[in-house]
Amino acid sequence: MPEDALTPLLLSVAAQDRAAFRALYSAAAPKLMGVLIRMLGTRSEAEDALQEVFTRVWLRAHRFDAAKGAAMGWLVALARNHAIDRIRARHDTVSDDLAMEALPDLAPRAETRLQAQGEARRIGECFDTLEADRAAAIRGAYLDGLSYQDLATRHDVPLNTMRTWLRRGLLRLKECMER
Amino acid sequence: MTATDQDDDLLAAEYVLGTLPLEDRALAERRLREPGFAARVAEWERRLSGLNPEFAEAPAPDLMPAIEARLFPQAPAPSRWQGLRLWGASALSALAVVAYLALTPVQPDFTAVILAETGGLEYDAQLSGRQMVVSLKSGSLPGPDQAHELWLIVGDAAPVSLGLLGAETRIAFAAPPEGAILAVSLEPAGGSPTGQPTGPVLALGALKRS
Repeated sequence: MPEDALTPLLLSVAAQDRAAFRALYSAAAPKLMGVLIRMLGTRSEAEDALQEVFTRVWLRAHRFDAAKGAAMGWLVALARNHAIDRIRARHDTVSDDLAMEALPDLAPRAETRLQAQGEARRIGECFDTLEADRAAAIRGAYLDGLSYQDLATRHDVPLNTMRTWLRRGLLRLKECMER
Repeated sequence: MTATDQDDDLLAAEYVLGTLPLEDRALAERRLREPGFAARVAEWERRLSGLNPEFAEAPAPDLMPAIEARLFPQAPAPSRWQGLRLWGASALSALAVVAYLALTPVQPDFTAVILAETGGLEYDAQLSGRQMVVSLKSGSLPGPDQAHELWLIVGDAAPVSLGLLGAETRIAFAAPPEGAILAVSLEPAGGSPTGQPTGPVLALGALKRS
């Protein structure tokens, strides 16, 4: 299903249409499952989270505003947000360490970059204007849910340095994307 | 852009990125009620969504039956009291009817059956006047490190915590609009650290006028 077909589905879900809700699940669950597995690390937790995310999709669909962005973007934002809440609520540092070791290579694959369109191409070009380690830090936070502490450890810099890097990187990214 | 604007913009960016520590994240979450801050968050979500193609798809099991069972629970079985009332009406003994009436509690204004998707947990909520009583009907309370927290979800507002639950909990409460949803989430002892549900939603039910 093309991504823009998701918008009418999500609008129908907002109008409490249960058939549309099922169709939306079929269309969007694989992508959201991908987001949750990557961020949470295990399939069992990701499945748990997916159930939670779709429960919230039903309860919050009327907040979706098609004028402000794509349906898939809204759904991914909801899934990422839930994954981050789960990660930050973990007090178990052991599993955080394990998650760190299991992380895949951060370098984007060539074909991913080629397929990227619109926002994706723009952000890709703007990432290229950042120092490589700062770009990697932003990507690690967004894609893998790493905290400042995780990022500082990974890049072997003090926590405050990492925060400054990241904030400067974000401002530069914004400036570049608005150009 | 003033210094404060820039701070707000960076806070929104860090919130979307997810790097904020738990406490700051909770602060940012509360500020989502400010339209200006919410707009900054939406802007950053859109900006960073360019990274979304890098999330690969993964096969997802069909969780819809469980999700639907949780969101749209079947109508609850007639309660013990309704059964008694039928029995009372058909009984010829005036004495039995009088005894039954004396036992009947004040009819609540609203009720909700807060059910888990798979049997296990059930809370019942009864709202009379400005007091809601929430009772554990089946399942058990979590261990000492965790708590069940009750949330009220009305329309598109963020869930509002109604507090932690015990076997029977009394909550002072103004009458909610019909169709409000009560949800129970699993949280660390002491309740959600962010002011929003952080753990899984264990059970859900709609408040209905009785």
